[in-house]
This record gives sequence, structure tokens and C-alpha cells, in this order.
Amino acid sequence: MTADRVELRPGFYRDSVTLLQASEAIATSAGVEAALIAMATPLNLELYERLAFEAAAVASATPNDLLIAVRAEDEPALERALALLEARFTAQVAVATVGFGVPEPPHTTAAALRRGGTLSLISLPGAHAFVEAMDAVQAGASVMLFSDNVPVEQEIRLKDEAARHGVLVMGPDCGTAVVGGLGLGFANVLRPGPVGIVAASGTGAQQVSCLLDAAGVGVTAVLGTGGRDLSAAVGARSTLAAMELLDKHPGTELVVVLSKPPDPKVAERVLAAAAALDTPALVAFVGRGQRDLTAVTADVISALGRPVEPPTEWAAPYDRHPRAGAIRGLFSGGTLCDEAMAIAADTLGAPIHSNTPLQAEWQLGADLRSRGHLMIDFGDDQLTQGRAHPMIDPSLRLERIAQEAADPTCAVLLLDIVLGYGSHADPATPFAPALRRARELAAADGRDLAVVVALVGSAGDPQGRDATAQALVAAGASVHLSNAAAARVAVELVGGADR
Amino acid sequence: MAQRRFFPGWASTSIGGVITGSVRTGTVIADGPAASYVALPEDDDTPDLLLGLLAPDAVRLPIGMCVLEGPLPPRGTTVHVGEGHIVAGRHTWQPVRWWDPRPRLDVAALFAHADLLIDAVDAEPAGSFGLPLPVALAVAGALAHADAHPAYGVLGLGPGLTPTGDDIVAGACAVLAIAGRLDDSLRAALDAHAHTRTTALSAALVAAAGRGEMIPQAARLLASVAAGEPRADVAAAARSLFAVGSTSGHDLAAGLAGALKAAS
Repeated sequence: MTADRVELRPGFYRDSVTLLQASEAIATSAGVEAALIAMATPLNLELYERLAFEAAAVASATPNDLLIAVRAEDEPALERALALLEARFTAQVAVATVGFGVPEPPHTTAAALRRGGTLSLISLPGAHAFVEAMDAVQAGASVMLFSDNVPVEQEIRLKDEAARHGVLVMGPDCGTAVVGGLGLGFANVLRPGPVGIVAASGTGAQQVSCLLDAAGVGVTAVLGTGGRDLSAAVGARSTLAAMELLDKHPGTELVVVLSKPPDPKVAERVLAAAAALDTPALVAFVGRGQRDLTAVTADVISALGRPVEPPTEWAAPYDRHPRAGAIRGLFSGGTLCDEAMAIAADTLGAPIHSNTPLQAEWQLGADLRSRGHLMIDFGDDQLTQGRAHPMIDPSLRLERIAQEAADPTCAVLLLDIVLGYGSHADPATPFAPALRRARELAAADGRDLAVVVALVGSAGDPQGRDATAQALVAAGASVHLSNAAAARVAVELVGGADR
Repeated sequence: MAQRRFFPGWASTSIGGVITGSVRTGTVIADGPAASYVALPEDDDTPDLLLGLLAPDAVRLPIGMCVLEGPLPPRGTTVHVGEGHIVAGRHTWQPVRWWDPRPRLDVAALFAHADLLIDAVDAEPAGSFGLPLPVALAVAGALAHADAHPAYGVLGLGPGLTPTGDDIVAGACAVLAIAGRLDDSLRAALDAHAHTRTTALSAALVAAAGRGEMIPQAARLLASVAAGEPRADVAAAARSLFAVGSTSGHDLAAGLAGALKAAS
């Protein structure tokens, strides 16, 4: 006598591969005469009836139930078949729930790409990055090369190889990118929108995209190119390729190209390429005598026909009176540092000493000892070897804050704090007490140390942009979404031209 | 300072309105290793609105949000969706990126190069489709001529989560919707039929296809065809669609090809 088992499992979903394989395994197992394992849709119920299973057993079935119907020659065969079925279901789950079903990781970049994928993010120490990046490019994938300290000759070879394979190399030293809806590296939470950004400057791109986000304008993509891309040697290889990609992208209504001052001949090529795009394009070279990133953002907003409002700022809880002394700028973002130096140098007409100076004679010594106005880019290659980027690890800047607070010639501390994925999970926690202590230390010495912070982030960033700003204000800082505005306030505080 | 903790996700713009709208409460009606499906009740007789929380390696369904960190909520979990978040128990997911499941294509070029798609589908072994290819092409072709009866005959046919018949209908609807050739009344009739004849997920995907929404592999294939890419490139795009599911990718492709051929 045959034995039947019919079962309905509401909401039990397995993909069709699993169901088909399970059905097949059951149907061919010893002693099984008929088996149907399928969602209980009307058409599948017709099949069920044709197999002469009991109709009453499925009277309550809905299409969202998994129907399991097995007929075997006897009870033991039926039990064996059902046990086999359960083993199939649980085996699938067991494999699939480990890290969401990720199988054993591949051993090489090209092997990983053979499993699918068109983009590879490489974040190895610079000395080892080239081999993996080349592997990815030759496997036909675009590369975001987060690593710094990659020699320029290797960068050129990579980018030439990328051109041959029709892919893009973003980097080296590419800090941020938004590609196909994914944020890579240091990425802010940005709304989707019509602007495509090509940037040879990570924090520059973050500043512009966050200011756009605050103005209600989103991005289609942010394609980093690496800080050296517009040098004479590299010749804008990635910038030109990225502009072309965005030009072809139907959702991009405006292409924005951002770079520190490029090589003049390269600049001409980029401007000519921008003019030849079908999509309107706006090219901004940030530096002395140029429009700052906030002004560029305003241009973008205007170009889209939106009203331009000044970026948000949170005032410090004390008067903004000028005081004697120097500005000490401690930056994590290279472009933000450059922008602040350009504004300070243009307004104050005094040297701004730096590890990445605007003029060679303003170079700081290797000990970075303070003299006069000073701005340090803690994200510079020289300072990041063997340690995390200052956007992640605040320790060098925290030490320096304490050091500057003790220096009687320091009148204004100027900092950038960059939010978003990849950055420190809660920068207010280390920085707010450090800034409060710095002000207290200076006050004990009879000085009113002003603290000005450029807060680069979007309202959606995981750190909580507004809460971070409020914590910094409570510690005695004025906080500005615009780095340029922060720099101007710092200049004004040391008696420079008013804003 | 108390920090709000949440996990990032990336979501289809198809469900953007639901996620960013006012908060609604629903239930996980089904779970699997790679996805959990949440049903949000609608007013009156409208079917529940369905959205999927997808593991990163799951197929990017047009009604889905991919999440990097889980765990995915099990069946029966109460889920709140709205004001930019999806909240289940102690987990909150927030979309930080969006993708548009509707490809933007040059429709005239798509029709002009229709043969590329038909040839790619024809080249597949007969056994790779859930239903015989001539049947699939006929169902899709009839839809292109506003005849839904063959489609009614296959909705809900097949074992899986998205039965074979539904995949064919979805493929056909998607390409017709993109081309502006899917009549509203036909679409409504198909939706109503799917609502009672197939799984809630599959019905939601047929409805999404009627809005021109599709999985990225299908969108990429149509883009490749519309661009008139070399045959080898179209074949490569087709292979990545064929790789979806057991027969789903093939059935979707058959639906796309059948409708495109009949509408050209």
C-alpha cells in the first residue's frame, strides 16, 4: 500500500534552483512514486490533482504556500524521502546564511572578477597595489585605487592599460567615489540627483557633493581620478575617460570637473574636452585666485536653476572679535587645506607655512614646528605612511591641538572634520573634549583661543551631522558646512579683511 | 552623546516613495536564505505592497533594497517602513544609494536591433527554458498584440518562487512598457490575474514589469541590444541574464525577445 504525505508551508520560500533540485532528488530516490514540490499556485494545484493526491489536503492553500506532496511505496520510503528533502532545505540555508551566502573567497583579483563584477576596490599598501590593480584592469574591471604612495610611472601604465580595456582607473590615492549607487572609500550619504562629479580631489568632491546635498541637489556618480591625474606626466588620462563616461550616462544632466590647479597644457585639454561634451559641463580648478569650492557649488546650483542659499553654520558661543596671533590650520583633507591656505594667503598677504605649501619658501621643516600662520595637511602621503588616514585616526591632530593650545602665538585653531562612511565613527567624542581643553588651557594663560571647524558631511551621514556640530559648538567652536566660510572666519578672527 | 545606529542599504527607486513616505507597518510574509519579503497592507481591495530586503548577492529585484548587514528578519516579524528607514526589531536599515530599475533606452534602436536578442535566445539549448521556447515566444508575442489569454494560461505555472510562466509574462511586459506599447487596461487585467494566480512576490514583479522595471541583468541586455553592440557582446550580456535563477533568466529573456519580435 502506498503512502502519501501532503504539507503546506506558508511563506516558506526557496529559490527555484533549490526547489527543482530537491524535487529531482526526491523523485528519483528509492521507493518514491510521485513528488511535487512547488508554490501552491492554481496551475501547480492542477498538477497536484492530476497526480491524484487528496484534494481536501490543499483546500486552504494560497499561492504563497510551499506545497510538498510525496507518494512512496511504503511509510519507510516516504520518511526517507522527506528526510532527504529537509536535508536539502537545511543544507541550502546552512551554506547561504554564512555571511549571506558568500562562498569561499577567491585567491586573486582576477579570480574574484571571473565570478562577476565590473569594479574592483583596491586598498593595499602602495608598494603592493599596482600588481592587483593591473590584474583587475586586465580582467576588464574598473578600479578604485584607494592606496597612496603608488609611483607615478605605475599610475600611467595602469591608466594606459585601462584605456585599452575600456575601463576606468580611479586613483591612486582616490579617497571617495560613488559608482552605480554604491559609495566607495570615504563616502557621504548623498541623495540621488542629476549631477555627475569627476574629481582629482577626494575631499573637494566630498565638500561639493555635501553642499549640493544640503541644497537639495543629488548626484548620479562621483568618479575620483587621483590627485595627480591632471599633472603634466599623467595628462588627465582618467579625468577625460570619466568625463566621457558621464557624458554617456543618461541620468547625468550636468558634469562637474574638480581639480587642484592642473598643469596649464593639461588644463587646456580638459577645458576643450568639456566643451565638446553633449552634456553641459562645469570645470573648476581650485587654488589661489580661483573660485572656492563653495562658490563652485553655488554655480552648479544656479546652473540647475535652483535658488542659492549660504551654507549652514553654527555660531560659536562667544563674540567673533579679532585677536592678535596666528592661524593654525590642522586638516585631514588636502584640498580643504589648499583652499583654506589660498583664502588666507590672498586675504592676509602673509606667508602661510605648510607641509604642502602654496609657495616653496613657505615649506615647513620636517619637524612641522609652528611659525606664524600655518596649515598642515595631515592626510599628505608623508604623514600617512604606516598609519591610518587622519579622517579615521585623529591622534596626530589631537596631539597637535594640545601643542598649539600651549603656544602663546596661536590665536585661532582651524580644523576640518569629514563625516560619512569610512571616516571616524564619532569624531565629536575625541575632538569636542580636546577643543574644550585647548580653550581652557589658553584661557588659563589669559588667551581667548578661537576654534573654527569646517564640518564636511551630509544630513544623512551615520555620525549625525547636526549632533556633531552641536557637540563641537558646545565645546566652544564655530562650525561651518563650507570650508571656505570657515577659512574666512579664521582670517577675520586674526584681523584679516572682513567677510 | 547617544548615536543613532543603522545599517546602510541600497534601494530601488521603485520603492523610494514607500521608504521615504510616512511610516507604515507590515509583516515579513516570507523569508529565504537571500531575501525577506515584507507585505505592507493597502487600503480597500488593493493587493498588499511588497518589498524585499535582499542579501548583497541576491538578484536585485526592482522592488528590493539590498542590505549589507543583517540578519534578514524572519517570517512573521513586524516591520516599520517610512521616513527613510526600514525598522525590524533592533535593526534599522537606511538606503544610502538608489538604483533606477527602469532602463532608459532608445526605443527605435531597440526595435531596429531586435534580431540580436532573438538570435541570442535562439542559440540557447532547448532544455534551458522552463517552457518550450516556441510557447514562451507565443505568449509574449500575443501580449505585444494586446492578447492576454495565453498569458493567463501560464501565470503561476512552474515550481519556483517566480514561476516560469510569470517570468515570461514579466519579460514581455517590461519590454512593452519601456517601449510605451503596454496598454493600461491590459496591464491592470494582468495584475489582477497575477494577484490571484501566483505568489505575492511574483505578482509584485509582474506589476513592476508593467511599469518597465526589471532586474539589472535584463536592463543590461536590452541596453546592449539597443546600442547595436557586436554579437559577442550581446551574447555576453545575455549569458549574465541566463545565469539568473534556474530557468528564470532564460524565461525572462524569452519574454523580452518574444514581445520585442512581435512588436517590431
